[in-house]
Amino acid sequence: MRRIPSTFIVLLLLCVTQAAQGDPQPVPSGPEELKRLTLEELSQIDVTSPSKEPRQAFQTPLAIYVITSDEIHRSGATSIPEALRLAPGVEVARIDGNKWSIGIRGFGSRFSRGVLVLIDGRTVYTTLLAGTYWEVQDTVMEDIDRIEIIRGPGGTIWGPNAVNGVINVITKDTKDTHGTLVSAGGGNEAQGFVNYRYGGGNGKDFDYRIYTKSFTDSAEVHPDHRNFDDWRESQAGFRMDWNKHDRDSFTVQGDIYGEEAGERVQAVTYAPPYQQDVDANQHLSGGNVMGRWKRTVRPGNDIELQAYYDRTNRHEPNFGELRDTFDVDFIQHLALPGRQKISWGLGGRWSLADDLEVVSGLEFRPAKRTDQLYTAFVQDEIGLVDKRLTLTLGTKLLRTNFSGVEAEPSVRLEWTPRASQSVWAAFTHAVRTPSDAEEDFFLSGFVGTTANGTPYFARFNANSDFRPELLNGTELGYRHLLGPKAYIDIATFYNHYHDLFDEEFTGPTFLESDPAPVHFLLPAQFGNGLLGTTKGFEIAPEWRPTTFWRLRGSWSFLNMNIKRAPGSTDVGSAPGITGASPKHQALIESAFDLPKKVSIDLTYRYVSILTAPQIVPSYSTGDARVAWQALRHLELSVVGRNLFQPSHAEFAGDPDTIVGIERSVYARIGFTR
Amino acid sequence: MVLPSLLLPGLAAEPQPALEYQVRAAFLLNFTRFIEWPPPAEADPASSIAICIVGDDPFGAALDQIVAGETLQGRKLTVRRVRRPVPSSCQVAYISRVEKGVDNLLASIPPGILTVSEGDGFLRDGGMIAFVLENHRVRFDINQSSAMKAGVRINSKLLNVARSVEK
Repeated sequence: MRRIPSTFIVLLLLCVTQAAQGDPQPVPSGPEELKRLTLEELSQIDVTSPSKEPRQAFQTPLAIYVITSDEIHRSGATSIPEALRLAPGVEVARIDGNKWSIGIRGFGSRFSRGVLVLIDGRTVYTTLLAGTYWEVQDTVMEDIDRIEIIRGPGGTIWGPNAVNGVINVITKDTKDTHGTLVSAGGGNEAQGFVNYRYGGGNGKDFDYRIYTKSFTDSAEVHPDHRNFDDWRESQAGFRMDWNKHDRDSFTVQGDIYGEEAGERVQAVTYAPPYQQDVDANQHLSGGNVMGRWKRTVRPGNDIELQAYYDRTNRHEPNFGELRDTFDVDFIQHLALPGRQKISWGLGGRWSLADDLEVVSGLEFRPAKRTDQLYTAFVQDEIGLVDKRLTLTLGTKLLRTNFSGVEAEPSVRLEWTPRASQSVWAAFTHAVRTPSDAEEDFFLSGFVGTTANGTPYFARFNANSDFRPELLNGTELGYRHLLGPKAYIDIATFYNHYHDLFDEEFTGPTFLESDPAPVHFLLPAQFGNGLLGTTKGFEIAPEWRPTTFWRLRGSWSFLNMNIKRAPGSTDVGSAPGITGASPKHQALIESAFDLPKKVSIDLTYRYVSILTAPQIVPSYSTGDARVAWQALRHLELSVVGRNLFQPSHAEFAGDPDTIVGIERSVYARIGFTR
Repeated sequence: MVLPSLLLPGLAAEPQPALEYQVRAAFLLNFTRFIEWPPPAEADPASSIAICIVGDDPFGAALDQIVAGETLQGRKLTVRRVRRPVPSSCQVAYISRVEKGVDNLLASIPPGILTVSEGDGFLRDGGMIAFVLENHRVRFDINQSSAMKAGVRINSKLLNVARSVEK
């Protein structure tokens, strides 16, 4: 192979077919050379820049990573949580077949309280437990346009609970999903799945799509052979977009789903048998409908109004809830003289919950509640020096039924000394608002029976004085385009938390007779008794050695130091928080485009040890995908996941016994027309 | 919740001329070689062939650099930046993706002008050539019937390279 002159390296112009024929012709760079290329040669130039969306991500004073639809497709991920493994700084741990712990920059748990999750602008974070039920967040993976992941606090814009990060799933515009898509497949873990979408439009101002999907997943690996975590789901939905007279656009969309997700729960009752493990299905269903109106008043001045209704219905072996949420938001973007861009907005959310008591050890009181949230925010982006230095100032004000008025201010600075380099810094204050899980929740644990047979319980009583968890964050980031072949994104952070959630004993053991029968009770409560710091960094390079080979990687480092606040009677929650997030995570992805329309994707993942609530050893594993575009409308692929070992653990058991995540393989056929 | 994807600061920052647009520029130059315009445009051999960018210019300097010094059958090629309405002195109209009301705009364009833009919807709106990104590569689709209606003839060589052709 001829050595490529260095001047030609400026552009990635080796085309795949030429390379594959063993006839590498370095295609010249620059306008003079480009215009001598034939149409066919032009069609073969890989034009995606390494940072994927340099204009967006490159000059954003946030630690942002955008997972593109192409990246999701080539990863073979069949669910949103699995796709999130592609982003740096995100800790994705599969607890069992249908549950995940997803944290950002620490604090991973099944309900990661500080990670706000949105799908097309609809908050799916629930104030029931301050967290996200990942098993009911789904759509046709092929219809996802991108997943934006913001690491670090984003409270000013995204509102309460965007403390450690924001996950923003955005589906494609209906203009981009015309035609039929059918994909189906199956394997040992993803036993069977089928997706169908049809999109169309009137060719002028109206476009739509409808979809339906179903899957059935098998249980993961259980040393005790209690394979409780099998999972079946069906979902359908639609989206319609109108664009009227250059000024107005309307979107209406909605989804409906039903599923059975197996789980094991500890059912605690004051009457015998006091405690039993129940393996049963959760029956989960719900739906949502959303409308959005955007108007461009004039260039640089637009307004947007959005409203949605969302219903979730969950029925678990030890608890149930029906929740109806109504949400309205208004926002305006306004360009002002003096290189200023103002954004401001108002929002309100009303969430009506009706909880069902199934066992006496798990109770929400009152059972019927309305959670409210009112927000207002303003942000000003000021171009300081010739577009090279930008200052963004803003704050959100919010009020919930759980606490008084809180502010979430932020200051962000972006400096672009050269077109290929940018440096940013941010100082932010963020708030995690209390939830029903702290203020209305009574959770009992069975400790044992005394010598005379009296049962002994510990109970976390609701704490109506629970305060918001607070964060003061400092971030510093650097991005560098090292020519068109390589890109590096480095983000560092130092976060200071206070008033963090803990579990506290509130008094000595006493004999309680209500609820009957008589039992000993150790009273406890959820409190704000922890504080501490987290620091760390994420380094995410991307390199394109050739036009047909792309390498991406990331190394995420996290150091958590969480401790008991002075005066706290914490039972020892801190090690359980710091131990549940890995100190190191590494990812290497390799994407090959081979001749004959074959592509090969390989992924290596490393996650270091977790020490709490149970020890989960560090692991390395890998995924692989081979795909062949057999016909213009037909793609065949085989995906292997978690290939390095028959099974490996990723998180502590929920409850008790750790579940092994199985090596799995599936085959897929995809038809688009 | 407040419509987050729209709020990322810095989105409107000055874009760098990307390789993608250099390639598009080279395509545009190439297109001119495979187009037969109706007679009026070819009447005056001294006049230039104008590639007009309508509205927001995504090319930066890329298109000017590609077109600089090029001729077509002895006529000079030029790049012009125009606003609505598109002047009939243009031979190619490249319509920015961010342009609103593309269907109305296309309806107002005089016949005999090759219309080019990007994205799925453009051909449905009545445009003739739409760039698309496929597998990281710039490809294009052609709506031949729109071109014929406007009296613009597209050479079969160009049709063959297109990803798809609507007849």
